Amino acid sequence: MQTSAQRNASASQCVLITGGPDGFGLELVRHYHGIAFQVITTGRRAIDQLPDEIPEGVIYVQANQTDLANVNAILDAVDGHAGGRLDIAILNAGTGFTTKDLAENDDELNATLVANLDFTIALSHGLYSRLYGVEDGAAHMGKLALIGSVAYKGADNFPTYAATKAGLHGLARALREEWRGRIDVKIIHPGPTRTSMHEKANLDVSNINWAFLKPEWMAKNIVATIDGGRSQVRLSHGSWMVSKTMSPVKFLRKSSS
Amino acid sequence: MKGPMSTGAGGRALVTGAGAGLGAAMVEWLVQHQWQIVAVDRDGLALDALVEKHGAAVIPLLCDLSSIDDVSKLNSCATADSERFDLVAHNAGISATGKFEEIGQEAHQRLLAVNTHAPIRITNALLKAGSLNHDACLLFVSSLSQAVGYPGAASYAASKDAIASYGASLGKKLKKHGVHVSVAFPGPLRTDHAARHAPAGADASKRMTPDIAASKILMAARNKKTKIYPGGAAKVAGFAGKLAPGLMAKMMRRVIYDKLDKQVAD
Repeated sequence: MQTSAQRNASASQCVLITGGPDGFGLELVRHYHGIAFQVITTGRRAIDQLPDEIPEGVIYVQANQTDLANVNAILDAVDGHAGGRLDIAILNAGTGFTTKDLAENDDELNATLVANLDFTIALSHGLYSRLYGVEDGAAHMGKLALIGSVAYKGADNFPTYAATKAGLHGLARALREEWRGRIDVKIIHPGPTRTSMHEKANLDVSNINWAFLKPEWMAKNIVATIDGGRSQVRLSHGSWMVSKTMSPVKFLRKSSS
Repeated sequence: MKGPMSTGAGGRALVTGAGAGLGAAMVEWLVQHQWQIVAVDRDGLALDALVEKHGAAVIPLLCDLSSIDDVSKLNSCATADSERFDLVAHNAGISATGKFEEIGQEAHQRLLAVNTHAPIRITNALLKAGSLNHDACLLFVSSLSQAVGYPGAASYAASKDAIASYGASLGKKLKKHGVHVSVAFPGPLRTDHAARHAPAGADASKRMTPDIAASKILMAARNKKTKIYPGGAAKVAGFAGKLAPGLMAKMMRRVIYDKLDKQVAD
């Protein structure tokens, strides 16, 4: 484990965001840091390769999710820097590979299964006691948001990736009921977003990158979902169009009030 | 799959979890329809019993699907043979019932290895080696939990949602290559496995028997059904789960999770 800073003593709430150095994970890190949360984030890259956009004071844990031993590294960071108590956990980190071949590459297939499904289940298991507890008669009830994908119902060019995201869907639906009244569990399925994941997944999207959703928009809507009441949400072009359609209506409502 | 099964001439099948329950019933049905079956199970005695009962129609293959090494050996055996498969039934599954946070992490990971990793790794190896005949069927046994949720068996629900999605993905991909993919969503069956994981006082008499489930699933697969809900109750529950997923998950909590009085992982 490597950390860039010690606990921000003035922070009143703490959020864990896995996969924070990139894409909407990075935007989530910046958002929660901006509203005075203690932010713990994780990623594969070494600390000296982190982007400059990660704010000073954010705690970083280098944790490759293809190795389940790294679950403990993250839990240790939560215990060491947040007193073992989390308000929000956003399990966003994952990997995926596309192929047009009939079969997938064995190493990529294994990495996807472990990083996306096994690791997220193991981390959710370990986070239970950090997201929920009773101290001095008062209950501490946190929130767990699992980041899926709109591909979770099936995708012919990345079947194992889609399977792992469907697995998270099934996990979230069961845990939402099991942990009702203790931890608020949500599954959020983002649509295609401008991140470096496509490049890592052997997918050249340079010609259509303009059509992908902006990480800022995705992060904003993930935050709104975590704060809202819906337990299963798809955030794709449909919801983007609704938000754009509703913006003038909201503006007019504000203006008239 | 249509050819051999419809003519009764028999085909070549691989069935995982063949030693008991739905898997054993599938073997029975396939033998009756003159198939040759590579029967995979971790229980050597159960495989011996299958061979004793069905003779040369069954080729036993001892394999613990939670072991990466065993799955690799299975893949080597299944793809080394020049004979290809007409049916691959990914039926093997284990469960872990109880409070998610109280079930040991090892049990959750073992479950994922058997229910999700193994069928994906085996399928990938068969596809890579070209070990499926034209018109073959890949059959994935998911669970009705994919439609209604399963509080009280969260990692099991995850594993079965995952395999259903994998099947759906491959269905699109393999159609043009002459391989059909079916995903079955059976509810609880009258098996020892279901009885071990059911809450106290659950009435097993209303559950479908494995032989009826096997017959319905294999006949629907033969007819190239993409999604198979065996029996009227499963069809109704599946439809209700799609219509009102949140409501069904809440109902499952009341019916199962709130009544669980033990932890079972196997």
